[in-house]
Amino acid sequence: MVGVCQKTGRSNDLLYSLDFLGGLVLLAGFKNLYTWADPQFLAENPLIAAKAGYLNTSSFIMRLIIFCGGWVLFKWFIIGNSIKQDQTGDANLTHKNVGLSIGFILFFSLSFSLFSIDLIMSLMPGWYSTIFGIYCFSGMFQATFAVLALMIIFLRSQGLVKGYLTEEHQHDVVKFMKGFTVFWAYIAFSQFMLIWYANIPEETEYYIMRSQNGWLGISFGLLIFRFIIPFLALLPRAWKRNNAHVTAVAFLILIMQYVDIYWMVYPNFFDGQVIFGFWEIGIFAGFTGIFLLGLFTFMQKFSLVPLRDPRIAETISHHVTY
Amino acid sequence: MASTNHIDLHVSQFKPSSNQKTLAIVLLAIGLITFAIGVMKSPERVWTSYLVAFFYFSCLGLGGLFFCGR
Repeated sequence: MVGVCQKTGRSNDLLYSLDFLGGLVLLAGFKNLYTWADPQFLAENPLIAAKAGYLNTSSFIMRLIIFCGGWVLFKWFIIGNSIKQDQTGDANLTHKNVGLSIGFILFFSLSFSLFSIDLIMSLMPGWYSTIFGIYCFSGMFQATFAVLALMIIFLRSQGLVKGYLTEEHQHDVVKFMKGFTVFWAYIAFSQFMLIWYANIPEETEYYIMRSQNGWLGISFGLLIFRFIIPFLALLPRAWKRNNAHVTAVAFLILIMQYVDIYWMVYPNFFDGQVIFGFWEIGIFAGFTGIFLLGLFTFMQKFSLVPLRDPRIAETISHHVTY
Repeated sequence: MASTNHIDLHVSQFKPSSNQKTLAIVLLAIGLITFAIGVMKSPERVWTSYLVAFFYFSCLGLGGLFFCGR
């Protein structure tokens, strides 16, 4: 299982370096997004001003650079070792990557949580949820498995990795995709239920904003299209092995990941109205273009499979027995 | 120890078709043009949609990296 994820994941990853540049560009528009960056707003809101030790421009920029820089460095070493191993066959590089991966998990768990809080949660600086980082993490993993499933189906349909990626691998990735569909719903419900039950005005405001001006339909849409439909559609064993079916569900999950982030961000702007059009489509198209160019470049330049990885044989003979 | 004796194994190099490359470049161009116009005409709207797209693709890239470790 790890092997198959590595095969497809390392192609997916080059995108991050390109995306890192996107983070630097974001800093240019930073003042348009975060009210806490405005000194006048802070002067009028002492409760937000009390958070200035964390929510201030210089520490926000520093954290963004540390997080993105750290991820790029881990990418550089982990993927670099994997590529080096393709050429040299040195098994020690696998052991080096084990150590790096342990470090990455520790760094990732803290950095991604704070990254989500900085970029998304702080758009509404008076509101907080201690589970917010995990909510973003669950959505991220569900979407990542959708991408992995799509890449497996694409690579298999093109006959590019004969024997290395099979129906068995696809089945397992789709099981994880379903698992994280449930996990996302569990975290989303946990966040909602605790806020609803406690009924504290500073917390309920988040959901009140998302239950008016047309946002209620999108809130229910998330429940239906991000959880109920993917969950039911991925239950039968045979459907997990049906390429057309998995492709449709994976695309639905990817669309809903966008809707979810949109749902977290947009109610804070434009008087809380639902607004979508040319600008959103155009910007998303640009990122998709970068994504595809990065993917094509990596896949064209390097082997699609880490052929000299000492554990490759274990991944080839993988069978789902239930 | 797993055996691979009876499995037909073959890896080919991926070569994107010209249509695939063109599609990626056209999408990128649309994004750049939208961004350039939007920053002047409707900055709040463009930066908001930029944040959504940036977070979306950061998640996908980071998720890929997560699965590259062992």
